[in-house]
Amino acid sequence: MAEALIFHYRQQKAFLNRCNPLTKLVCILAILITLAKASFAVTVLLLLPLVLLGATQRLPIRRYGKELRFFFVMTVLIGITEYAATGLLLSCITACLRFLAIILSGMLLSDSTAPDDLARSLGSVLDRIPFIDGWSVASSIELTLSMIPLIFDVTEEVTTARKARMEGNRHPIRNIRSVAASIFSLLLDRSEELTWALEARCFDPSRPRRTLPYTKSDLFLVTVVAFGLAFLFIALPRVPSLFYPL
Amino acid sequence: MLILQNLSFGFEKNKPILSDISLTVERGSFTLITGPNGSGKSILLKLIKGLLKPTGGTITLEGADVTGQSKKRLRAIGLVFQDAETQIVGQTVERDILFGLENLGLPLSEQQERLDGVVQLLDLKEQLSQRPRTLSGGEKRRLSIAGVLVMKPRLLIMDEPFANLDYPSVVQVLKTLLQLKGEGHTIILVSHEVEKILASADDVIILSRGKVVSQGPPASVRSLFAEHGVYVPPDTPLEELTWLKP
Repeated sequence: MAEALIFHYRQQKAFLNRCNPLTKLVCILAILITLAKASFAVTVLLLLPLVLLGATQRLPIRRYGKELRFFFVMTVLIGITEYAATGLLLSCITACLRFLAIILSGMLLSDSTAPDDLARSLGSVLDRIPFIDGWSVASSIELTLSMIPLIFDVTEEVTTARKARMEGNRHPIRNIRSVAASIFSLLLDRSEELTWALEARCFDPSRPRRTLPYTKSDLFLVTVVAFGLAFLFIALPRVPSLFYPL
Repeated sequence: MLILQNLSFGFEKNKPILSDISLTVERGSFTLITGPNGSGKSILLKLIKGLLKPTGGTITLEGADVTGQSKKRLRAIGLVFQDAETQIVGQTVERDILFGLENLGLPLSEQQERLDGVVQLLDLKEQLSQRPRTLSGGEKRRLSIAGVLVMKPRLLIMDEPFANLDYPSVVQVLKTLLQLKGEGHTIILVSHEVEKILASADDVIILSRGKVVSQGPPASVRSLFAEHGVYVPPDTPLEELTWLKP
C-alpha cells in the first residue's frame, strides 16, 4: 500500500519541520495574501520559493498522483473560467499558477506540521485574546485539519470498494450522488470513532498544552519571507505592471 | 474491583441492547467475556469505560459508585478498541503514546519515564518515529495497548484483541497479555475466539442476547459455550486452549 497521502504529516529532519508552526502559518498567509493581487511575474516569483521549499521537503509528488488528479481538474476549470471571463491567456495562466501556489502551500504546511503542533502554537497565541478560549479554538482547528486527510482516505476507500464491485459509469450523476452519500456516511462513522478515541484517552480541548520553542530556522524563514515581500512591495511603485491595479 | 448491578442500555426506549447485566471482576484477575456476534459485548465495554451512559443499574469501581461519573471511569479504566486503527490518533508512534499522558497533564519527566517503560514492555522502540499507518497489524495492536497502558489504568479492557491478526501477531499479543497479568494488572478481555486464550483466563462470562447467561471458572462454563454460539474445539484439554504453545 502506498503510504504517501496528500495533506498527511511526515516526520522528517527537513528545514520546514524544524520551524515553529506559527511561523510557517504566518509566512504562508503573508505569501498568499500577496499572491491574491499579484501579476504573472510576481506569481512566478512567489511560486519559485514554494517549489524550492517543496524540493527541500522532498514532497513525494509522484506518489500523490491519484489525489493530485482532483486538483489538476480544478486547475483546468479555473483556467477555463478565467479565460472565459477575461479573454486573456496570461490572466488564465496566472490564475492557474495562483491556485497551484495555494495547493503547494497547503501541502508544505501539512507535510511539515502535525495538527497537534499547530494547535499548540496557535492556542498559546489565541488564548491571550480576551474573552476567547484560545485553546478550544486551536483544538477545533486541529480537529478540522485532521479531517482533511480523513476525507481523502475515506474517498479512496469508497472509490476502491466500488471499483472492485465493477461499478460502471452508465449513470454518472446517479453515481456521483451515491458515491457522495457513501463518503459522507463513512466520514460520519469515522468521526464518531475519532470522538470515542479522543474521549477514551481523556482529551480536553480547552486544556493548555506545552508550547513549542522558536529556533534559528524560524528567524531564517521570517527574514527571507519578510525581505522577499518587502522587495516586491518596494518594487511595486517602480514597476506598476508587477501588480494588477488595486 | 468492578461490580455491575442490573446494568441496562438501549439506544431506543423499549428496545434494550443490554438488560440486567450483573457481574463481578476481582482485582488482578483475567476475565474473559465471550458470546456470539450481536450479544452486546462491545456496548458493555463502552458502558464500563464511560463512553456510553447506562439507562439503568449501577457501576461500582473499587467500592465507589461511579455510575454517574463517566470522567472518573474514563481516567481509571483503559479500553483498547476492537479496531486498533480507530484508536490511534497520533501522527507518529511516539506522539500517539504521549497523547494520553499529555491529556493527564503529567510533567515532562514523568511522561518520558512512562514512555520508556511502555516502549520497552511492548517492544516498540524501533517504531517510535514511524507513522502508525505504516505499522503491521500486530504492531498497531501493540501500539493501541501501549497508548492505553501508559496511562496506568486501574482496569484494562480489551475488545477483540485478536481480530484480523495472523498467528505470530496473536502470539505476540498473548505474550503481552500474560506479561501484564503477571504484573498484577486487572484485565477484561472480550473475544469470541476462546480457543486462543481460554487456558489463561481466571473467570469467564458468557453474554447472549444482551444478558449474562453464565459466569464462572473456565472449566465450569465450558459446557455452555456451544449452546450459546461460541466454538471450542471438542475433546481438547482446557490447558491446551491457547495459541501460546510452549
